[in-house]
Amino acid sequence: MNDLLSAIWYRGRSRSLVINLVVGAIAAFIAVYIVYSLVSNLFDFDFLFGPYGSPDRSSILSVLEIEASDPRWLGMLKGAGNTISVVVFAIALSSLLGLLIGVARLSSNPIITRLGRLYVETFRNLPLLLIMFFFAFGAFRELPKLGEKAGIENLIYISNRGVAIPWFQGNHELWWLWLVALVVAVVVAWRVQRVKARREAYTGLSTYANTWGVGVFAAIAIVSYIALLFPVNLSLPEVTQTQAGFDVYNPDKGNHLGLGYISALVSLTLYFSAFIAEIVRGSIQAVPRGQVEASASLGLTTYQRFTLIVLPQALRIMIPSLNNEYQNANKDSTLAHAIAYGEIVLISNRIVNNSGNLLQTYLFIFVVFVLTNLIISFIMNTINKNVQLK
Amino acid sequence: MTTMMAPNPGAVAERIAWAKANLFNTRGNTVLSVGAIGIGAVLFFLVVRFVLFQANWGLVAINRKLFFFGSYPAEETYRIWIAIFVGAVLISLTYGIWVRLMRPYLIVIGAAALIILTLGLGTDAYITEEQFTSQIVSNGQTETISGIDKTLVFERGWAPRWLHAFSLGLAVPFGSSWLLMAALFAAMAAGAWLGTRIAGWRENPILLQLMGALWVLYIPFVVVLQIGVPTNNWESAFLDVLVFSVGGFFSFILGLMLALGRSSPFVAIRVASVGYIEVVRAAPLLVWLLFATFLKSELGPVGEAFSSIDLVFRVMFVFSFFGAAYIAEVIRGGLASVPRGQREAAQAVGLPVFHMYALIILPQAIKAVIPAIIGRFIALWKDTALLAAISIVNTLEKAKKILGGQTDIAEGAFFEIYIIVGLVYWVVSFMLSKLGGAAEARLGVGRR
Repeated sequence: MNDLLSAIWYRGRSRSLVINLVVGAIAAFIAVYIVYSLVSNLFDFDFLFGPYGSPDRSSILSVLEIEASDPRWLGMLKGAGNTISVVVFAIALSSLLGLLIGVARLSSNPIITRLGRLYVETFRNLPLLLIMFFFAFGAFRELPKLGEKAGIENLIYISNRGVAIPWFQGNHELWWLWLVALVVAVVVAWRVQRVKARREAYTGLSTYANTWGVGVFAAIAIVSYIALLFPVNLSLPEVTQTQAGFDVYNPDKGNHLGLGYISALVSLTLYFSAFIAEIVRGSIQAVPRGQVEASASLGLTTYQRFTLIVLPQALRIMIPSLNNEYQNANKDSTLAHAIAYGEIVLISNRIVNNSGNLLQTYLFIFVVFVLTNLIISFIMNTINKNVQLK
Repeated sequence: MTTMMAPNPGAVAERIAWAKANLFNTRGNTVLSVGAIGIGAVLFFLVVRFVLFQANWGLVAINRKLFFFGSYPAEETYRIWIAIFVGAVLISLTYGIWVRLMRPYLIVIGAAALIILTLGLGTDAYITEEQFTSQIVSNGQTETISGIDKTLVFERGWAPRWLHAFSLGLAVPFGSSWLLMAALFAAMAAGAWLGTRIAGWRENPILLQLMGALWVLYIPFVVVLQIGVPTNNWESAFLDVLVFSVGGFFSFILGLMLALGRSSPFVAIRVASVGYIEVVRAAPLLVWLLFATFLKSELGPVGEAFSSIDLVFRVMFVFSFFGAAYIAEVIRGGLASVPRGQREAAQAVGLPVFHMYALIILPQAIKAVIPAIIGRFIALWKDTALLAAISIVNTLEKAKKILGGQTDIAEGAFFEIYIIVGLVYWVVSFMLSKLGGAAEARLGVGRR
């Protein structure tokens, strides 16, 4: 018996079969257990159609504000929309700020370098949640009261209740057709610019490709705006008073960005711009020195050297790390639920509290993050494919 | 960096020449310099004005015990102090053996000790409560009101008031006697000195194994020390450090196992490891923490057993398993960086698999990714702040509670308290990142 066992164990193929079977069986058991628990709970989707309960008006877009009468599935989708609406702007702003600070850290001016370093070291070593608390519960509560109308009259108001900015307002039912027209305009303008640029590359004759692109876009936008009978106009924010005499932002005018949204956006931007600055700095330093020296010897100005020679090569190096950082920003946006911004986790927790369907709701969160991260990954990989040397 | 230093710090003319060459050499640079100096000066002015003249550090000083020990019973704090002493001596010993730069170490310790011994001597801040009654006249009637009058009292040593209040907030953070702090610094200096004495044996495998064993045993030792104190008294910075240490410890071990599993020759182990890593990394930590908090009977008997564990241990569990997935990815990179020839040579001399990994592959793999592992530990440390989002009383949540009016005299001291809490998190992650940088420079990771 002992001999048989040792013969099985010490023969390579039979040993690997045994280990595969044992580990596979354990892993399969765990997987089946989880799936079984999910399935035994999961086919109960009735809770999704119950009313959400309490209204949640912390979002940036009025279409995403959750009413008490909304079904729960709609509440969850709107929560996901709120997450996306903060993540998209946070990524855009932190990339811009990070680029600026990353470049500043490589400046020949020692004072600028040190200020950049101070910024990076400060925000990189603080927890994101602390930064969020700082703004949401402290700094932004010190802002002037709404009645003082701080900011620029009829353009932007800043108060301890949030910020109000100008926003677009549809004039008739079909205003969204203009958005479609704008998308078409972008595509057409991009094609025109490409064709012109290619001809310039072949012939060497100047074709004003960028001017043409902008012109085509503007022309399509203006013509469609007139053809659709002026679909949108700009609505300016306004401070009014309720009947009880309290100051409020007029909900029909402009767009009111709540304190939760602003705090989440500012904190995410500050925190991730510090990381992005480090990525930018590392990537620029990784561009061989000879490139800069060669371009300098060709007589390019500092600005040309940076935008035409260094940045395109640094982009190739930084995009995989940026992809990673953007996915982190997406995941870390969940922290905003602790400052009462109505993003997906906050909405889901309310639903769990009311209905108790933990697994279904959290599976939905999981799926949303897998999908959004896949989208970020897809976009960054597409960009990566376009900037790599072919 | 060298160009930033003036060649001769004494000569004013040379400094001016240096500034002309580096700061004001072109028109654009001059604008930048002036703007940056302006921003820097305003920042400096605001910070100095706040720290020295506006801030009420006494309010921080009163709550200083809460920041570090929370509601840990006062007669049990010796358990934490033992952990701090043992940890400090271990760090000093390790430093003495492997870094051996005694002078900067002693200077830092000496300066800290000096500040605490001189400024901290006889300083304290507390709130006195006095019953008061007074009579007011309203609508022609005399009313008597009574209440409790709270006043903030400083007991100062010799230092001027602003310096004194500052030292209360920062120099005596542990809220304990200066004698204990002095003993701590003495123990650290002694440990570092002992380290340099035995540094000659640092290539000796016995010393290596001994120090390794001490470090590995230290974290379980700290946890075992806490047995007997109810977990809802584990609070504030102490809890952050505990969750970080336990989470970091187990996430490293688990991560190592997962990384090895990912490169295992057996398909089932490989698939299971990859599946685990990808699933855990797909969702944010906060979602896992909330899931662990809310889970009751949804996952059958396993869920029930899990939910019966104390919340603090559940959180440590989540930190370990979450961190492991990330550390596994880091170590996988290290494993990939070990040249194939190393494995083949080990196989050629007939080393068993265990010895091949323990003696040849893993030392090289882990050495290559030490800076990245430290980076993951920094992230883990900052993630301990997330406990505030699930209402566990860590440093951040404690700050919120203090401001929420445990002592109503602390209301309005928002910025002071948040600056101190920020410093608690910032200092640890900054020191860890410096450690990572030093390791990178020492191991020459980027230079091969």
